[in-house]
Formats: sequence, structure tokens, C-alpha cells
Amino acid sequence: MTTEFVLRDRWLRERFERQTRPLLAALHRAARRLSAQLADAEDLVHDTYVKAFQAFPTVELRDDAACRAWLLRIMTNSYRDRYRREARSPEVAGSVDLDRLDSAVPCREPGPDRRFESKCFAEAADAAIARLPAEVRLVVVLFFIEELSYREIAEIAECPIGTVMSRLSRGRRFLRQALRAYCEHEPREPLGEAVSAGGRHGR
Amino acid sequence: MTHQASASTMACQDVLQRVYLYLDRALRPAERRAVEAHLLVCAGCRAEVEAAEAVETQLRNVLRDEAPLHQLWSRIAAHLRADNSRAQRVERRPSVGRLSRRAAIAASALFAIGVVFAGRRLMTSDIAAAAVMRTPVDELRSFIDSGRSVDVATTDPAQLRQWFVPRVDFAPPTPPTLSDLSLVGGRLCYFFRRRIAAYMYHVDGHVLSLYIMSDQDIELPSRRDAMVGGRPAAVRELDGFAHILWRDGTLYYSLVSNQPAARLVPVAQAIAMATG
Repeated sequence: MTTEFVLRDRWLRERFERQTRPLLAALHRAARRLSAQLADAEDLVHDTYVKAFQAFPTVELRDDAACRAWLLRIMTNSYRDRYRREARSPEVAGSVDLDRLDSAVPCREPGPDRRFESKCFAEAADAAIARLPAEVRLVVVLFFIEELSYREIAEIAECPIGTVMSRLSRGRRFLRQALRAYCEHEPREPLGEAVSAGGRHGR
Repeated sequence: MTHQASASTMACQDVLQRVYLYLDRALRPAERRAVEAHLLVCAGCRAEVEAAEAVETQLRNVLRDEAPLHQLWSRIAAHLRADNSRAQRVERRPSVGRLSRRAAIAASALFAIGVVFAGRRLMTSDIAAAAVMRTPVDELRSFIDSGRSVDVATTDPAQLRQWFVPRVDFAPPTPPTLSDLSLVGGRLCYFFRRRIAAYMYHVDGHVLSLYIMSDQDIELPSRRDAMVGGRPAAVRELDGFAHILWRDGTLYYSLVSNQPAARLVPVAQAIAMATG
């Protein structure tokens, strides 16, 4: 009986590992942007896997995409538990007020050296994402890092697709304002003939 | 005429409100045409769209970087083993009261129903970007591994097209013929809940499958990796296979081969030029 139990558990654990371990890096990549510290990100991923393993015998995962969505949904719930513990309201947890976009200030002015610029952009991007309100950050991370569609995000975050689109739009506007300075080093192409004949911005 | 009329009703404010839907290719065709018509004549809005796109391209690049995982899996695996041991001890414990056992069974059943229900909800969604990129690769791989032959063996493009006409629910284009590719035949495939025409080629000892399908309910991944025939395309390398996907009109073209993406992109571009 005991041997049977042990064998069954080993088989279950190995099956779980086979199915979920390839997704570790992707989950960690998203968790890093959802967490303030690297250690917090590792804890978030760790919690996700532990909860997933407990539920694993009861789910049917058709393919890798379903498995990834299932893990992301568990991680989303863990993330929410965490930020709710840390602050009563996610909107005031050190995040920026998205209705006042002018509060978005780049971490520093981009320099002339390309490698430095790239590093600075990455730092500025991390800083800007960290300043997003928790629910907006979640949607932004799922969209940019996990490359999910509006519909997939709505299912994972358990909210209407319109809410996803609205949060994503607010987050992207903020990020554009915060990061735009890092992308404007090269002069743009002169405008084409069609433009000289056409209207001006502000119509 | 209609095109110009709708464009004239789209003001800068309307366009700026739709920048992200435009970049995500989430606008309805008429709206998209109106935005594009406006961008042709409005330098300011075009600059806004380009700026948004530039920021997002760079953002995606930096967010894709990998961090070292610091033995994270070992830590998780150790916890899972410990979890199992605890569960084993609980199962062996004999003194569980009749009522609490029933309550535990009921709670477990409710939990299982909840989890299965949640899992099913995730599985019944429209065809998602990840599956769109993965499934054709798996299909070609299983075809190669099984050693099956094509459904119709012919090197005549017109004859092959004619074979597909009564079998798919769209007008199949004539299989493109390129100097480097040898057309060997076709297969009628079924995935994404639709019939798909697969034109099969050989190139330098590799197998190449061009899947053509209707675009209903299929989402192109939001990331644009390459331009193919002037259209945005998604490119992925999966398990030694490369997959390039683009849309032309109401059809999706999915080009899969067991060779690197760098070699497949020029082929895709030539095919798109030939079929476009």
C-alpha cells in the first residue's frame, strides 16, 4: 500500500514537472515585473508552483497553452493576495496616478552611447512598470511579457475584456510618456508628398 | 469613394484614441482603413503612432531578457517532495471522524469541481496566439515522424489547386512555384476547427509545408517580428522548426519547415510576393 502510494506520488510529481517546468522561465520573467524585489519574484513563482501542484490531480490540461494559462491564473491570484496584504488599496501602494500623466519622469536623461541607452531604457522601463497601479501592472505584464491577447488576459485576470483594454490603454500611455525620451535619438524621415498636401495635427 | 468618406470623418482625436487598437490590429476593417487614410495625410498623428510603436518595440525587447533562476526549481522541487510526504502522513492517519470526513469529501469535491470548471473555461477560449504558433509546427512534425505520404502527389500547381477546390471552404490560391522549392503535393489537414490546405515542398533536403486557411477566430500574435510581402508576420522557432505566419486578405498563410527561421523568412517573402 505504502509502496503503491509512493510510486503514485512520484509518477504524479514527475508528470507535473514535465508539464510545468518548461514554463518556469516565462513565469519568472513576469513575476519579476510584478514584484518589487528579485526575492519576492522567486517567492511568487514558488507559491504558484506549490498551489498548482496541489490542484494538479484535479485539472485536465489539454496542451502547453492551457497549462501556461492555468499557471498564470494561479500566479495572478497569489499576486493579488500579496498586494492586498501589503496595502489596503492597490491604487495608493506607491503607484503613480495615471490620470496625471505628467508625473511620469524618466529615471535619467538618455546618454549618447547606445549600450548605455539600452541599459538606461531597461532600467527606466522597470522603474515605470513598478510605478503602475497593481491591476494595471498585471495587465501590462501579461500583454508585453506573456504576449497574451485581450481575451486571454480577461480570462486569466477574471475581468471583462473592456476592463482589460481600458487598463492596458492607461498603462501604455503612461509607459509611452515615461519612456518616449529614450526612443527619440534618431531624426525621423522627412515627410512624404502626401503629407505636404494634407492636413496638420490638431484637426 | 467610401474609403475617402470614412477617412474624412476621422479626426485626430479619433485616431489618437485608437492608436493601441490600431497597433494591436484590433480595429474593425472599416475603422482601420479610416485610421490609415488619416495617417497618410496627418504627419502629427503618424508621428504619434510611430512613437508609440517605437517605445513598445523597445519595451518588448528589454522585457524578454532572462534572469538567472538561482536554483529556483530545486527549491520548488524540494517543497513538492515535502508536500507529498505530508500528504502521505495525513492519508495514513486513521482517526478522522465520520462527519468531518464527509465534510472533507464534500469540500474536496467542490474544490475539484471549481478547479476543473476554471480549467475548462481556459480551454474553451478562441484560438489563442500561442496555440496559433504551436499547432502547425506540431502538425508538420507528426507528419514527418509518422512517415506518412501526401494525400495527393503532383508537381503541377494547377492540378493541386483544383484538387483542393471542392475540399476547403475558401478559394485556394494556386501553389506558388519558386526556383528553390520543389512542389511534391498536398494534404488536407484539420486543426483550429477548420479544413486547411497544406501545400508540400522539398527544399535542400528539408520539408516545407505551406498551410492556407480562413482567418475566422484566429488571432495573430501582437508582436510583429518581420514583414512578409509588406504585411506584418509572426516568426517563431519551436523544437528545431521555424514557423512564419501572416495574413493576406481573409486568408492566413502559415509556413513551417524544419530549418532555421533565418533561412525561412526569405522563402516566406518570395511566397507572399507570388501569392499576393
